[in-house]
Formats: sequence, C-alpha cells, structure tokens
Amino acid sequence: MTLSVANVNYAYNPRTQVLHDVSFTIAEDRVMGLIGPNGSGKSTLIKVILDLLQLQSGRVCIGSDSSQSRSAKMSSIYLSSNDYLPEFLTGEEYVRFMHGLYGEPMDHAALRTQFARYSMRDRHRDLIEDYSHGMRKKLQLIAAFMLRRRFTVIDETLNGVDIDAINLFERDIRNLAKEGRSVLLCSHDFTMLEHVADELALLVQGALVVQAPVRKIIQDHGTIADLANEFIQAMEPS
Amino acid sequence: MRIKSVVLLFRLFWLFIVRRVLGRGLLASPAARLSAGILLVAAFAGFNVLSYVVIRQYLGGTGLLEPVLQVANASVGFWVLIAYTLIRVLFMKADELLKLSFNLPVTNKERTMAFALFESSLVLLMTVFVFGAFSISTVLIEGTDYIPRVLVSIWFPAISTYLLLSLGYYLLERALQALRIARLRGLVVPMVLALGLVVAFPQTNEQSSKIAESYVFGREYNAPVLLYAKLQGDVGIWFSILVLLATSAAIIPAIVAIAPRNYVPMRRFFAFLPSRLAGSKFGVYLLVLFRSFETMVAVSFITIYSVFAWLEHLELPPYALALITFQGVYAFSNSEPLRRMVTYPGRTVANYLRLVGSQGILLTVAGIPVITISVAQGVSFEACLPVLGFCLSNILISTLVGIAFPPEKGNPFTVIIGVLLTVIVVMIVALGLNVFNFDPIISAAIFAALNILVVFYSILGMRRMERIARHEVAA
Repeated sequence: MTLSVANVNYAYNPRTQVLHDVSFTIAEDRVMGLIGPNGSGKSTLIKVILDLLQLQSGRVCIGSDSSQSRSAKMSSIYLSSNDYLPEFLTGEEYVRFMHGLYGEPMDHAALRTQFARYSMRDRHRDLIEDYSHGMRKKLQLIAAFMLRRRFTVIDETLNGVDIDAINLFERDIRNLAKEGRSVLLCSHDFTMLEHVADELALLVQGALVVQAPVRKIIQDHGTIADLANEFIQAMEPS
Repeated sequence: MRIKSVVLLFRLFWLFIVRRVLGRGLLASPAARLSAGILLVAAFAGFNVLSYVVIRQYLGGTGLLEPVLQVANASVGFWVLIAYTLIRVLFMKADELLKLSFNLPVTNKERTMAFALFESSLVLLMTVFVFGAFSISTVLIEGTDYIPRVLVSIWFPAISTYLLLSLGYYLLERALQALRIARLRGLVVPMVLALGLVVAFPQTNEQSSKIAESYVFGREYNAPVLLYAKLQGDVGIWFSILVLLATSAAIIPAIVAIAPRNYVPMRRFFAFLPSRLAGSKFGVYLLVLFRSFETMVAVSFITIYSVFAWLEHLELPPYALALITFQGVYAFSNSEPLRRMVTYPGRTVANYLRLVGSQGILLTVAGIPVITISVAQGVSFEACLPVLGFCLSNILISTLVGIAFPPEKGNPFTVIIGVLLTVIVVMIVALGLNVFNFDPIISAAIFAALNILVVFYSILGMRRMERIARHEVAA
C-alpha cells in the first residue's frame, strides 16, 4: 500500500468535529478520486494525511513510514487548491527550487518540453507574478510530473485549467499510475474523474460514506454525478 | 464621472482602514483603541505645549517670529513633498484596497479620484500633525490677529503644493502608460520623488539663508513660494483666499482630466540575479529579498542620497543604510510561500538564519559602496562601525516585528504598525543606553544581550506561527 489512513478523527475546536473515523487505503499504481460537498472535510483530510495539520487520532502511513517522517514527506508531493506560489521566482526557478527541495537534479530539456506541452512555450523565464491563474496551476502540475513522487496529492488544482491541459493531465496522471505511483485526486470535475480514477471516495460531513472502484460505481449508479445526487437527495430534510 | 460613486468609494476605503488596520491585532479591543486614541491626542497636545514653550522662550517679544514664519513658509514645499513621498510609497502597495472596488459598478476614473481623495485626507492628517503645533502656538503667542499670517504662510502654500504634486504624479503616470512602462511605476515614482527631495532640500536651505540675510540687512525678500503672504500683506487676506481658490479651481479639474482611465497592476518583483540561486534554500531567500520592489526602492533612495551627499560634500556617517534594514519587516511574510508550498518547510532555526542571513548579504552589498563614499568624503571608518552595528541590530528587530505583526499582502497600512514599532523599540533602547551613559563596552554588551533576546523571540515566534498553521495551538 502507498497510503493507509486508519481511524482518523479531526476537530478544529471542541464543537466542530470535521473528520469522523476516516479509514481507507490507496494501493500502488492506483488513482483515487476524492469527492464531497463543500465543507465536507476533503481539504482537512488531505492536510492531515500530509502532516500539514497535526494528527489528533488515528494513523496515517505513506509507504511503510509514518506521515510525520522525513522519508514520507520526501516521497509525496502536494498540489494545493490555492495558487499560493512564490511570485518572485520565474517558472523555471520554481521547478528548480522544488527539485532542490527533493534533492533531484533538474532536466532543463524536460522542463522546456513540459512547458511547450502545456501551451506555455518560452514562458519559463517569466516571473510567476505575470502568470494567469490557469498558468499557475499548470506550473504546479509540471513540477509534480517532473518530480514523479511515489504519492501525489492534487487538491482541486485543476480549477481554471483549459480543456487541452485537462486532456494532457489525464494522460500524464495515468502514466504516473502505470509506473506504480499513487495519486489522490480531489476534484468536482466528475467526468474527468471517470476518465482517470480507479477508485472513488465520497466524504459527507466528515465521514467516508463510499469507497469503491469507479467501474463499479458507474455500473451501479450510471455516473459519479448520479451517485453524488443520490447522496444529496438522501441528505435533504424530508 | 459620478460624484456619488467617488464619495461612496472614499467611505469604503476609510472603512477598510478602520476595520482592517485600526481594528486588528492589539487594536482589536475597544479599550485598546480608546487608549491608543487618548495617547495620540495626548502626544499632539504635548507637541503643542512643547512648541508653545520653545517659541515663547526663544522668539516671544523678539520680533523674530516674522522671519521664522517666512522660513517656515519657504520650507512648506519640502515638508509637503516628504509627506507626499511617504504616502505615495505607502500607496504603491495598496492593491488590495483597489481590488475592493473591482466588482463595483464604477469607472477607473471614479476609482482613481476616490483614491486621490482618500490619499489627500491622509496627507491632511499628517500635515495637521506636522504644522498644527507650530500654527496653534504661534497664534497663542501673537494673538488671533496672527491667524491670517499663519494661513497664508503655512496652510495655503501646503494646499497648493499638494495639488501641484498630485497633478505632477498623474502626469507621470500618464507618461509611463504612454511609454508602456506603467508596471514599473513602483520603482520609477519613488525615484522621481527622491530626486525631487534632493533638488528641493538645497533650494529650501538657500531660501532660508536668503530670508535670514534679508532680515538682518532690513531688505524685503520676495520669492514665488511667498506669494500668498505677499498678497496678504499688500492687498489683504481675502485676495489671498481668492487666489488660492482660483489656483485650486484650475488645478483640480486638470487632475481629474489627467487621472489615468485604466488600471495597470504594478510589478512587485524584478527578475534579476542568476536562476541558479533557486536551486538552494538560501539562494531563494536571497531572491525574494533582492527582487522585491520594496528593496529596490530602499536601494534607490540610498543611492540617490549617497550621490547627493557626494555632490554636496556632506561629511556624514552612512546613516542612510538604515533604510534597507527595515526590509526585515517584510522578510517573513514575503518568504511565506517558500515555507507553505511544501510538506517539509525545513527547521525553524535554519529558516530564521536564512531570513536574517539574506538581509546581512543585502546590507554588505549596499554597505560597501555607501561606506566607501562616506570614507572618501572624510568620515573615518571607525565612525561608520557603530552605524553598521545599528543596522545589524535593526535587521534583527525589524525581522522580529515582521514575525509578530506580519504585513498583509496588498495592505500597506499594516506595514506602518511594524515600522513604527521597530522605530519605537530601537529609540527606547538607544535612549536608555544614552540616559545611563554607560561605558561603550558595557553599552555594546547590553545591546548584544538585547539582540540575543530578539533572536530568541523571533525563533519562538516562527515556531508558534508554524504550530498555529498546523492547529496545534490556538491563534
């Protein structure tokens, strides 16, 4: 298993329990989609998994290591939902910095190829300050696909990215899985998830209510959107 | 242009100041706000009393108040230019304030005018604080008959100078837009203002000397800056008021007409220094410091001042270097993305050393030429060393203030609190050591001990911020 989450609970304060006894695993070479309504605890779960929020109860392991260990951090990469990037760096410098943090040499030719693939040819020497919202997201993706960590976490990073880049992203993410790496992909784009995810986890009010293969969900419910609608209707007060 | 929209926006900007600056942090509680208000009023009252005592003691009944008022009149332009420079540099970073109005149904012209009105209200407050005490005490000593003299010597020239500076600024903005370099205004505008100060300072001094000379030799001295006073003396206060209204009526529509119609976001960073630096953590901390426009502005001011000192043969230790040490206020918040974007941000102590180490390098890079110029002017190298020590200490203190009160991106007013706190702490320490008149070695030891304490609290502060971000402790 690349990721195992066992009995995780989390509360920001004594009155607001955000996660309720969440347990799941992601196997090697699998892409797991994470969906849920706003405020259901998706980003909190991701932050707890990556040790960005202190684990209050339960256990999170990346590979065989605790998520708090240095080796767990070095084998994972996190693409956050906001575009909180160092605007004083150029795109190239950002990727170089990320490589430096992971102790990897940067392949300059590969960088230029990735920028060209994601329709940002010759923009790698521009400051991130000058990038649009979508370009910043693409830059995060480029860094992740160049660094190819064992475990990649993507938290709604694809919001605002154009259709060409989404298509490329789907191919790249499948390639990561083919190489034996795992991905946790949080998104509201259900169609894209149907294309790339092997499994799906549905979080409602902090509880994991569904974890099943996407193929089975489509078989039983038609689409991921239908599954989500069923839950929304079930939650509505009668 | 709808006046109502301008007024509504103006009120919105003030609401921003009240809620986001005066209502946060230590000032969040009504009791703290009341205390701060009382303190401010008491400071202004104290300033008035001091001014009254000094003027009465040295000038009361001597007949010297007349030339002193003329000298004050001659220097009004310079002081208004200083106030304008401070406000203008501050407003360069007011993106967040402007963004408040982006989704409102207002034109760019209305936005610019509301902003200009807001800015002038702040300049007015500053001017009242600077010239208020002198004006009030002068009137108290000489009687109410002196009010027209004070108005024409201080307030009328201040209003006209401010309006002219605003017109000049918008003309410059238009020129930069025409040249397609409006994004660089964060650097160009402060440099132009600094050059203005350099030109205005010797001229103000020269005029002051001429006024004093004329008084001694019983000659009448006339200059364009003394126009309102001259008109009041020759014709009467009503004519001065008429001229002020006429000039304002001519300048204000010109400002409205020339104010830019479109908003161009300002460049906050400049891509220089080799990309290779991004490969190391320390290198990235150097990049964030050296590339930020705040650093560029500080270095530009120091450069212009040093050239001016060279040309004017000023034999002064390199005090101007202290300007770049205030960059510490931004150091923590500007480098925040470096610690937030990765799952392993590094050890706190190492990050702190990167923060202050990068500033140490900036001080060295800027210090070598500036100190060389000072030494070449005749200042001894030994006289420069205390300044360097002060700068190093200021780096540590301003970094601590930046950690305790991190300035918000796009909200420049939060910086004022940080800079003021740094100045207050440094002044208290310096005054304390001066009052006790210790042996220099003991003073240096106390200073070093205080700096160690500052480093300790900075690291403690950074650790606490990290723990708050992880919700390990309450904010």
